[in-house]
Amino acid sequence: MLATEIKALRKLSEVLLGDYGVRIIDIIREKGEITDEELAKILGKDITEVRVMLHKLFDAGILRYRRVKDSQIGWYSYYWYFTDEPVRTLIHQRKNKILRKLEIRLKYEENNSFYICPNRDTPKLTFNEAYNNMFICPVCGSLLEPYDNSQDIEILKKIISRLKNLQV
Amino acid sequence: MSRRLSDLEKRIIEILETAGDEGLLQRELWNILGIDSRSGMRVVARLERRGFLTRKRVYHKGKATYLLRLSKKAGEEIEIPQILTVLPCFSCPYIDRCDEGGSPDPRNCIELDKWLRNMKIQHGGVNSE
Repeated sequence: MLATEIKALRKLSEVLLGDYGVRIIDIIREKGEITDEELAKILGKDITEVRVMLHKLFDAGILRYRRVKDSQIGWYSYYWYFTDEPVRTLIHQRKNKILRKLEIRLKYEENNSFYICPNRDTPKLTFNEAYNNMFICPVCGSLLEPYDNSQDIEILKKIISRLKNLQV
Repeated sequence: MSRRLSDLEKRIIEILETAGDEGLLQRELWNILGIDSRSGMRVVARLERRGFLTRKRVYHKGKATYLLRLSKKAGEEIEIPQILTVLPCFSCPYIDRCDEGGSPDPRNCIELDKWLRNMKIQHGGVNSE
């Protein structure tokens, strides 16, 4: 794998998993591929935690695995290795996923009016939710106040526009 | 997702990375790898199609051949834009199951709420990253 790709994979894994992300990339780079058991031994971590981390890297498209069945005991071993997908593509795919979430949120903010409790840091309620609660905070009983979400909408629009124009 | 690179393809990429900007003549590559031009050509053409390398037709000792270079794009530093990493979704482990009506849901995601709040408080909203 190219040095620039590895460097970017390390950065990406660091954002997702912190220092362990970087260590996992370095170990797999050295070994080519590795089982979760071996990796757990090297990292000195519980195998379940290691599997969770490996699956996060798999979900992000950084790692792939192959399954090998032990012919005697019938158990599977999982060998993890780097994807061949260029890192730019992984970043681009992630950007598109994020864009979709932000667009859903923007639509929600634009199509609803909200109410909020003046006394506590609780999630805001839509008009229907507030109406069903007689405009009373479900936690403390205070009277709910209208929430002006125009700044949230402005922030979301701006970020969405910047992401759409972003060249990865 | 595209297919996994073969060992030969990986080796070619490594060799071209070492060759740097000067590149490498196709026939020199065959010599290093110990393969014939016919099988080599197939692999090189595949890598060219996938954007890993570029081929330039040149004449060497009167004979036409190709100069191979790692593509510029392949050798460039890859930056992860900061605008992406500051968004909570970028490092969210649930990014693939988060959807409208799902769990989590971007419409009432607490992390997204926090991020929006911070954007408003810390940077005055829309002018920040």
